[in-house]
Amino acid sequence: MLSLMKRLFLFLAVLGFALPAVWAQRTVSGTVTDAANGQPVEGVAVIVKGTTSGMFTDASGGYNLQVPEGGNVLVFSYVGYVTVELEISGSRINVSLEEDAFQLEEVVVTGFGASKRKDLTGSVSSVSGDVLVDVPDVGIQNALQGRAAGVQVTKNSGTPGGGIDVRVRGSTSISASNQPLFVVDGVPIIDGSFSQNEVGNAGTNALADINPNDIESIEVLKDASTAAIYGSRGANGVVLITTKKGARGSTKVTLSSSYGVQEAWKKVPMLNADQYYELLDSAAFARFGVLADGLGIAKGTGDVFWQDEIFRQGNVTDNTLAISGGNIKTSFYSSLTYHNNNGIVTGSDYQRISGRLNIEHTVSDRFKFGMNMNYVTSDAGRVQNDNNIYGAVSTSILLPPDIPIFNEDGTYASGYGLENPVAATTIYQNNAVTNRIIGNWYGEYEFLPGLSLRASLGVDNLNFREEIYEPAALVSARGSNGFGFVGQTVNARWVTDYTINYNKDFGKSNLSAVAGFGMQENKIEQISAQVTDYPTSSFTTLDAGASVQGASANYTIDGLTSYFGNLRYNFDERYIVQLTFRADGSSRFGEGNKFGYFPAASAAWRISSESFMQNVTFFNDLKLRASWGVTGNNNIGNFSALQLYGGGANYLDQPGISPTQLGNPNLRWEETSQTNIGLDFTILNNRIYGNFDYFSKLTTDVLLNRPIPTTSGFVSVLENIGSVSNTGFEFQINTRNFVGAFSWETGFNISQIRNEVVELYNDDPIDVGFANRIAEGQSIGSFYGYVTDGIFQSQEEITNSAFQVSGTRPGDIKFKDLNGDNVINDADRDYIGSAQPDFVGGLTNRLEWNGFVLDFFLQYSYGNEIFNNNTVFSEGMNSVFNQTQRIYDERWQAGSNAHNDARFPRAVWGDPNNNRRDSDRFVEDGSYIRLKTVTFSYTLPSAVTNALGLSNIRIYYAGQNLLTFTNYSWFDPEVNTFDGSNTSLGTDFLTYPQARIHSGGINLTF
Amino acid sequence: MKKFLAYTLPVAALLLVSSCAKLEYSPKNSVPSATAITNLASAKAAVFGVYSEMQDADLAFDGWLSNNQYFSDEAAFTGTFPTRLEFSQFNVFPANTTMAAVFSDIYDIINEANNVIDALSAGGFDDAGLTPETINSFLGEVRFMRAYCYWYLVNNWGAVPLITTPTREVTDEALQVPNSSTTAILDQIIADLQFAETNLQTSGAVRATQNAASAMLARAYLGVGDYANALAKAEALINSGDYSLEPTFGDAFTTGSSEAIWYLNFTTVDGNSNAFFYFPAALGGRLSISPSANLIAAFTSDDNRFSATIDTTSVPGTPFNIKYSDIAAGTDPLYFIRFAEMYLIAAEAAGATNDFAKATTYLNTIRTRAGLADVTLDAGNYVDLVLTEKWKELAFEGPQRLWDLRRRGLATTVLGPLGYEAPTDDLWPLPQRDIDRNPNLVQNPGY
Repeated sequence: MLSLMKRLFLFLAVLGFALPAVWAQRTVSGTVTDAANGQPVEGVAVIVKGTTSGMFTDASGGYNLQVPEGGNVLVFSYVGYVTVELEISGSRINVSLEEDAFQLEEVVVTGFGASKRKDLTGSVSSVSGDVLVDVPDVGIQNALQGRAAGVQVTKNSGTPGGGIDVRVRGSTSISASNQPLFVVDGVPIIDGSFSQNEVGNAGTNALADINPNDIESIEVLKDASTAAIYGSRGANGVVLITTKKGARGSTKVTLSSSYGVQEAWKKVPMLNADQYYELLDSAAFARFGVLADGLGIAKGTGDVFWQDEIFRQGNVTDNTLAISGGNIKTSFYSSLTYHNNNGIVTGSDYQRISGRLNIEHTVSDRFKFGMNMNYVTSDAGRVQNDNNIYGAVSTSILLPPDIPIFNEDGTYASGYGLENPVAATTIYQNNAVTNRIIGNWYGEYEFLPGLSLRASLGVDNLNFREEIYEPAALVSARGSNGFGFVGQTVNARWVTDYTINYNKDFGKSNLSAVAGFGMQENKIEQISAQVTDYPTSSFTTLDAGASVQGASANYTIDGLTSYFGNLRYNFDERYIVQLTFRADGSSRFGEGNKFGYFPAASAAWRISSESFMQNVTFFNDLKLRASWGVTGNNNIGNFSALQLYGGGANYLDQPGISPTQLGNPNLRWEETSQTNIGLDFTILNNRIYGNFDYFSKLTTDVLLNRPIPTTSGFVSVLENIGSVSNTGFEFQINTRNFVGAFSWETGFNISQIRNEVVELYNDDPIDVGFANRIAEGQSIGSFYGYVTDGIFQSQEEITNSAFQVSGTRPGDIKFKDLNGDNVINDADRDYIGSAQPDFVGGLTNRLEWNGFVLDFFLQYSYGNEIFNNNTVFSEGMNSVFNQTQRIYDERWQAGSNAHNDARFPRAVWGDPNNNRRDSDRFVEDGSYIRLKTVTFSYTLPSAVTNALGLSNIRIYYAGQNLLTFTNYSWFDPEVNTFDGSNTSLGTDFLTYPQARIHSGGINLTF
Repeated sequence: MKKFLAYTLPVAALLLVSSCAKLEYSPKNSVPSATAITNLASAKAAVFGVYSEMQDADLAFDGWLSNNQYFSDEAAFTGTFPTRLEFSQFNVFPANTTMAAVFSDIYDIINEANNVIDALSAGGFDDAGLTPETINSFLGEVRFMRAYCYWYLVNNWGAVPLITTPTREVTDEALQVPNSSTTAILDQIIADLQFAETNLQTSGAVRATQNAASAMLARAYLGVGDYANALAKAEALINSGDYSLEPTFGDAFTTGSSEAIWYLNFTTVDGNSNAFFYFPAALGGRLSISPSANLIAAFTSDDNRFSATIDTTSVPGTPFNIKYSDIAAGTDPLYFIRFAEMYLIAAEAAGATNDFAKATTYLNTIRTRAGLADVTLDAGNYVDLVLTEKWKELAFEGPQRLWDLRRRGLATTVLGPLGYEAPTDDLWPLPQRDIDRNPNLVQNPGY
């Protein structure tokens, strides 16, 4: 391939030099005005097409330009207006620019190219970076959630800088990742969690390193025709993030500063000490006929509502200094941001300092180069949570209220092996520091008009170091007399792409083509060490620990080599067809299976450009789109194809080796074929813009960790087995309800996705998480368990019902005998819900008047269920854990207190009937509609601003998660304790909840 | 110049990085299985890998200890895991994940052992240090561990699949192995142990030895009712002079004890969590398991083993087992076979073969060390007295109490009041995930 590339280069170079460039010059001048009000527009770039000759209009909209001979078209462009191209027909050219209401002319970035929105043949959702600017919470999820149709985003917990799950048009895989490919300025970036020491389930999130303030726009490539250019990594969609570039013109200095306060928007009522002990008494009595002290449990001296002890009013600070500008030849954007988020749970915080420099320079009319560089350092202070007896939120729910915060001697009190929540949030130390450089360098050379070569080299170099210290005063380290851990991950990735771009107009036709070659290498090296037994809690580094518990290391690497091409033909802006092809070779697969081939084709018909539509004024734009293509997924371990023996299986501190994986030399790509049909329309004098998409995805050769009989010595083997389908529709509509001095714009979107596991190995279901089951005919994220049928009211009713266990008594839950064999056992389980919603979407509104802007954004999810595993423990009434107020109030009670309509079973120590087994009792409706963000801002009149020597002053209030309407009983319906899991979905277990934030800010532009 | 740079720079960059792009990488911390065992060092490492698997976190507590202790009259459940609760309630469901983890880990050991056996039996090594004797000793070690695992399987689950070759292929034929017969499993156990007894060259107690193989044979013969052989093997060890009872009971199950026939060693690096699970929260533990009221009551006040087994004073109202006490580093050994058991095997086997004088002598040796008065065994009392003595002597050291009650037909009598229901509870259910994946596997009766 290399020699081929070289020959091509030489050939193109010869062509390039062969062209003479002898041009004379003339002068053109004119004025540029706003078509709506006739006012002059300052700062419009006026460029002679195909050259670097150009200038900006002055305050009166005027320009006066030297045009080189051969230059015959002027291009007038300004952000927010439709770009105009005019033939140079005389020496004076006046132009009035139309506002680009729905960005039909807007250039949409697609992989290795760009297209005007009106010419798109595939399905791409675009979100402007503007929506991120005021949002106080860190993270790009805010740009996607509820705003991009077909994209489902879950922030799995409220942990500052915590993990997000993004699903573009559903879940395609079972064992390979379902996260889309994230690409920043052409560099596929590292995502995921690198923590080597669990703090529960919440991982760290490498995506949080991207500074939202730097984002110009986000494009989500959803259908196969757009994602196929990313071939083997496109099956889950591609999220393209474009960072801000300098605008040509005078240098702009922007200072933005905001401060917000945040708190938990809900707490769960738990029992006080008296109620708790009373419930213990009744549980003990129901089982053994004795009170709690008969079980050796004495009432403690405390009475603490633990949630009050761990939740706090946190704050969020964001300060950004951005400087951008440039001249006709060079543009730059640079920023420096300090972001700090002190979370709503004491001890949790996230700090990010990010610096960026984007620069592009046009060397000659043939050659330009640029560089986007981002350095990030972040520091996450983490607390333990989720399924963890030392977790902060975990113990704030479960630790009995009669335990005081402190013992009489001033030490932290605790009980039953649970951590003291106050200790868990104050003296537990866990910091995860990331230092990271993401950037790329590129050069573009135009050999012939319309034919250019672009070379780009990108890096993402991530260095993640976590340090944990647990002093001996913590329950978790009491036995070990202090525990220390340090882990480090270095993930070095480089990626390079070479593309040849060709673009040519032939009369009414336009042909554009891209051919490319790319390579990528990703290497991860990890080390960790842990020690115990510290002299005192004043010593916190590893060297002070007397007992070394171990050290480990890991190394893994993979490579990808790709060839790709894209051909696009546009006839008269009426008929557009596009063909895409990519071949990817991955080191992850076995010999003979390394290469995968990913074709796609699409077409669009712009009906509104047809002559017969010219008299139909109702439609301003109408386009029908269709696409089909194949994309892949290679997101598996790097050496899964091999049968391996690994080290580290030591005994007597002497080296040992053991089989680590069965391996599968036949592993190959998982493939997703997708069909998309879409309709774009703009109607009623550009007042309403919308689109509708229907898609159908079928993933075959699914990479599946197939569970195998464990008598083999292995639990599972990775194979290409089975298929998963996702079908659905997306509808998006934007309206301009009012235009003029008072303007009001509304956007609404809704998506429906039907996810179904079509085929698994031998129809074998796979159980994952707490109650999730993957099974044929069901969606990924389905819950499986027993079906409840009320509560036994009498011994007679128990006798006359299917046998459960010998200890079943009145007040216990009656489970349905689904197979009618008169015995309740594993065979009586069924599908009892799914974490997959029926519909998701959002509603945006923007009202503007005289410098005042009100933005409010509602986001919703309907029809999804949550397995509330919190209540398995906090409503079990079977042991020492604290219980909720509602179960105390509404449980079944014997004798005079008996009420037949009790929602919950009786309290009984040890739960002989296993009322706590996975059942529909714990499955709750997780639907919600949420006032996600509200922004109210005021931009001062320019008279005032100018008097102060500034060009812009804007002050604003922004709120997040202000209102949530849901029937879900626990903290927050946007939750998943299995952060980052493909298949264990919609499960809540002692997870850090989402915060409500109020913030205020100011933007100053100099 | 500019133009020159313009097109040479991309070319240079291309040349620079193309040389690095590869589609073949090798892992650095693994080797292909086919070339894993090639010489003395790698053979020994592979054998040690099998020991290491026996230390697995699920096995060290749930497998080797607590599942059986809950499922008997030895321990009470004081934890929070519902799957462990099922054991203490004598109501283990096929879907029990704790049980499934133990089951799969045991087969993991067996597969590792089979890998070593397969590789070493193939021969053809280019390493003078790997003599036939050394190879046979290594084979003896892993066959010993395989026998130990099958003994555990057959006692808890009955007729499980008997697999003696390594898993190499992902085919239904290779993976879906049917139940074997218990006879075939027991024959394999005896054959493996006899091979080990003949070929082992190791010494000490942290690895399998000839003596350990003899002791396991004594246990297995007793288990299958071959009392004459059980007595012979136990007496051979008692009379070997290689071991002696520690004068103080508390010293018997520590590292380096004179009663150590075979124990699984744990260092600070690969420590277990046993003390953590047995110890109360006030001392940094979790108290997932507590001595049962029955066990505490079984110790008479003059029994000096009580204070070395159960601590009732450190945390008032919370008795806990102290045979594992290194909560900080988890270096407590797991006593798989301790010398005192040989006296108890000999006593029971002698009684079963009507030599009550001998039975009485052996049992009283153990009682004397415990500070208890002598008893006289006869046909009517020997089973009860020996089993009770064994229960107290070996409390929390392993899974045997349940098996002893079962094989003597006492399970229903003793455990019935606690919830044990024969015949279902005579075996645990085979894990549902194996039943689901292996159509040739027949579930145990009652499940």
